[in-house]
Amino acid sequence: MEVAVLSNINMEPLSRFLNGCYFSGFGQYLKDLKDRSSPFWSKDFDVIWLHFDVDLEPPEFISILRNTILPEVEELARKRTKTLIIFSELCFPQYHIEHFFRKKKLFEEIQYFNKEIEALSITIPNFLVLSTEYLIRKVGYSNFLNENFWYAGRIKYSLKAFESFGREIKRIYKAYKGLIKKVLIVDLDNTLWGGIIGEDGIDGILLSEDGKGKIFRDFQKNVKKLKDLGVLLCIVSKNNYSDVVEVFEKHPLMVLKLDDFIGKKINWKPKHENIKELAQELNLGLDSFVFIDDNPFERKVVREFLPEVAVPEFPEDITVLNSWFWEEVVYEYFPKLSVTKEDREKLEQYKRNIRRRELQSKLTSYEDFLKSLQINLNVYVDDGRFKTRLAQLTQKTNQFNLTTRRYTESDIENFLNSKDTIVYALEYRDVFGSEGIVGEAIVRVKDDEAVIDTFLMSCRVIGRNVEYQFLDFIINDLRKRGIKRIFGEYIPTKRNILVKDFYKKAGFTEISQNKFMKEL
Amino acid sequence: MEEIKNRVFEVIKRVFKLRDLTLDEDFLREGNIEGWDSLGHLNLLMELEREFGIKFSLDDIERSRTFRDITALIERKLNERKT
Repeated sequence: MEVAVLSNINMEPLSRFLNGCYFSGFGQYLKDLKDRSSPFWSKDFDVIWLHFDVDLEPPEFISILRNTILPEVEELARKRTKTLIIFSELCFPQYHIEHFFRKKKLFEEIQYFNKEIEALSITIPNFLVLSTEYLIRKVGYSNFLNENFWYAGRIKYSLKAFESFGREIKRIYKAYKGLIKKVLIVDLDNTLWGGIIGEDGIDGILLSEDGKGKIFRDFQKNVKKLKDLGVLLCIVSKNNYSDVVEVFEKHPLMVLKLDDFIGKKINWKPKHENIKELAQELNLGLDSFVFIDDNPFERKVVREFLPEVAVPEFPEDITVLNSWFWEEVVYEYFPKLSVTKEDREKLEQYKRNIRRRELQSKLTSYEDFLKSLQINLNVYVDDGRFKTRLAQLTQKTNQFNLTTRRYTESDIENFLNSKDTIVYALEYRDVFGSEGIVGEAIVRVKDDEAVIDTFLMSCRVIGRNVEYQFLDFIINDLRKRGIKRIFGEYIPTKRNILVKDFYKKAGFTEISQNKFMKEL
Repeated sequence: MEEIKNRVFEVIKRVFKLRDLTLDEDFLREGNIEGWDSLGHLNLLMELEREFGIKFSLDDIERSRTFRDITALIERKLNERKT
């Protein structure tokens, strides 16, 4: 990740925590923004971070920021659409002469400015805001600043502050790029409740509205919030199944229900084997999983056998379970910019897939099964309503993905607005319900030729011949537009071997290795 | 003291990205090592605060510009904390 930092103070110690940093020289940020011949403009960055400290500046600094710098930054974001622009919200000075005033002029100005950049982050897709306030609260003001190094050499923030800035920038970038996990696996004993159900019994476990048991009740509420964000929940626990069912069904203070979990492995098998089975059942890669367990042995086993699974350390002091969960699990593995309809319905969609599989096992032939599903497809062309979902699909789809090109929401927006690019979105519905947008194709057209830049299907609908109907629709649509030749391409990755022969099966000719063509 | 010296030496190697440095107490000082200039000095001392969990005063930062000064300073700080 290449990061450029533009600031009115010395931010260079950040390079200790972020590789590949560019810093505009002291007092040079405005020159960098304006001067298109500066090295700042000739290099491609993944992130440009703007951070301004109002503490040290004269009172008119905020209006300078608003009138001179903000328009430049807006321009920057619109010019460099491949780059994520992160702007730190301005922070109130800790010590200020108006502290006890009824009316605090400076504070109002700062609030107003922060509202303005927040509005920009909603209208400009590659522009996001960093909450400095949150970081200062987390680290603590006195630990955030470095008065000694400030007076020795104008380094205002502490290493701890730089470390948390670095982490936050990485997380914002992950959220922007959609580089997040899909499944949270939890252990039960001493994780969802205190104590061990097999020994302490339903009346002995800790789960209550006050005291230590409240830690676990709060924890369950927080886990449920992740579920509502579209994260799939699973249980992997060494226990007797009936003991666990009793807690879920009879304990009055359980927040989570068995139904909230898409996968439940409650048995005495090694945990890594259970996790592997879950990955197969859900048709997801192991790198989509996060595993939480209080037992260091279990964490070690999973790390050793399944290095792709993320296994965060667990707090030794259970008191901090909830803040640990937010900081090290939610913000680290599941940072998201928004929630789509598909996210909110994710659990139900996976459940429907399990029911489909049950139906399939009852019917004798696969054709009968497909017929009984009564699949109904809809294709939307260049439809802006789905841009978040379309970006998400390019970021998350690995198996049925011909080219695995990852796009951000602003990339998709550019495709939607461009005359030379057509974006197709496939909606799927059957007797069990709607799956939402599950297929996507991005096609570049020039004269009478079309190149399929991206063709992908969500793993949820793989194997129902839907892909061929989708491609047929696209071919027909291109024919209507006067296209004579369509080119397709397969870019092999570790995960997409499934679609190696897709174009061949769809009637394309291989013109060179992994390049295909169809004459219309 | 030996332990402090070794840890300081490791931090110096890390901060100035010098893997093949030798622990020569007379030689290790600001100006003698590539990167150990006035800004490098601040970076080094910030890292040492983190490494030993201590806080330097402004005077500490300005006065301790050699390996010997720095290790003596850290030893003093750690002893103060114990008592």
